[in-house]
Amino acid sequence: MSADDSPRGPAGAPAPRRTIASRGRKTWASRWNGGQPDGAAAGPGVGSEAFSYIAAGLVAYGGIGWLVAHFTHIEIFLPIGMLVGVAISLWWVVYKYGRKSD
Amino acid sequence: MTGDVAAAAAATGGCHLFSGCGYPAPGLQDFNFRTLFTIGGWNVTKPELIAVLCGLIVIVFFWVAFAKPKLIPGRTQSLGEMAILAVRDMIIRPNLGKKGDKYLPLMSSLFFFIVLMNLMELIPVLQFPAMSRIGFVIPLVAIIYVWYWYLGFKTKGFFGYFRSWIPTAPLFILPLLILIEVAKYVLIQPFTLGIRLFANMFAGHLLLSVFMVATWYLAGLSIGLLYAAGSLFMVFFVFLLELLVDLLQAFIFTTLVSTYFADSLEAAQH
Repeated sequence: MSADDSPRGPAGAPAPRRTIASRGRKTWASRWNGGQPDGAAAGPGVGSEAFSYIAAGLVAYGGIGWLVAHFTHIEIFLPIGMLVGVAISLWWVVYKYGRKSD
Repeated sequence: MTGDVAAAAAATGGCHLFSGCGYPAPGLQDFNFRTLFTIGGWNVTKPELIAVLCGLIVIVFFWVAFAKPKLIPGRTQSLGEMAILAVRDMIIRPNLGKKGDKYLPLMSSLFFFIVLMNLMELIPVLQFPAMSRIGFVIPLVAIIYVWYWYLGFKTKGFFGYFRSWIPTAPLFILPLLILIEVAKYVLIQPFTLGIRLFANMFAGHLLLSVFMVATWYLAGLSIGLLYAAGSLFMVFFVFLLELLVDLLQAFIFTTLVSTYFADSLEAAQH
């Protein structure tokens, strides 16, 4: 670690400390997160999160579809399950991340 | 049989265009290695040796850099500081905030270990990204998986952690979403974390091999020389591309790990 990585003013004097409160809870980390507070699921993780949801919908409901198809011997349930899963996931991704955060 | 002849010819370096042996296409066989030596019944292969080498480089470098830290840092310490501050500011802080600083040793080791393992595909003689063998990726993912579940249990309690999976969604769709959340946490997250790294390294190494072998195969006193030049250009292009991919994949892996940690450490909202 560097000995002192606090921000400094023009002449080497310590810059006035800016608290999280003074900046309306917008740390640089939150700016990376697209303006959301720290810890919010955003930034580089959002794309991966959205993909995870869609894949999870496909696997979960595709799995149920496969089970139903296996026992009823009606194979169409597998693609139906997959499509339903993707549809639910897509709706959820749009609902969760599609709205503007302040 | 023809494949065997081609492979043998390629191994001896005698397989060229118009020599009758055909293009010795790289494939899965390039990811299997002979035993180099045996230690107590353990057959050591090249990827294992590379993994040990990378682990040692990371350990020795950070040991040398920070064993005796000075207020005015020397070259190695400065380099070490730059390295871990980059991990802190680009990976940990954006996802975990300041409370994530205690995971700096883990994330730094993880990032630099993966970077080195990936970069080994571009080092002459070694020329193999160990992460393109899924056996090296699975233990890393397993460690991380157990770790973030443990953090979740520790922060939210056993049932609290599972309760935190329940999303804040309209009631009419909530039962349908719970299944998706469970699949996401249990199956998809560890799977995508590992497969992304493995598949990128596997594909990159294969791509590089295809153009390298093609350059060698096409080179000769014929029209093939022209194509060999094109293939050689592609070798350089893919080389640079892989340099980017190697760094990017290590970054993505570590970033995802820190988002999973943040998810586990996030205060329960339900």
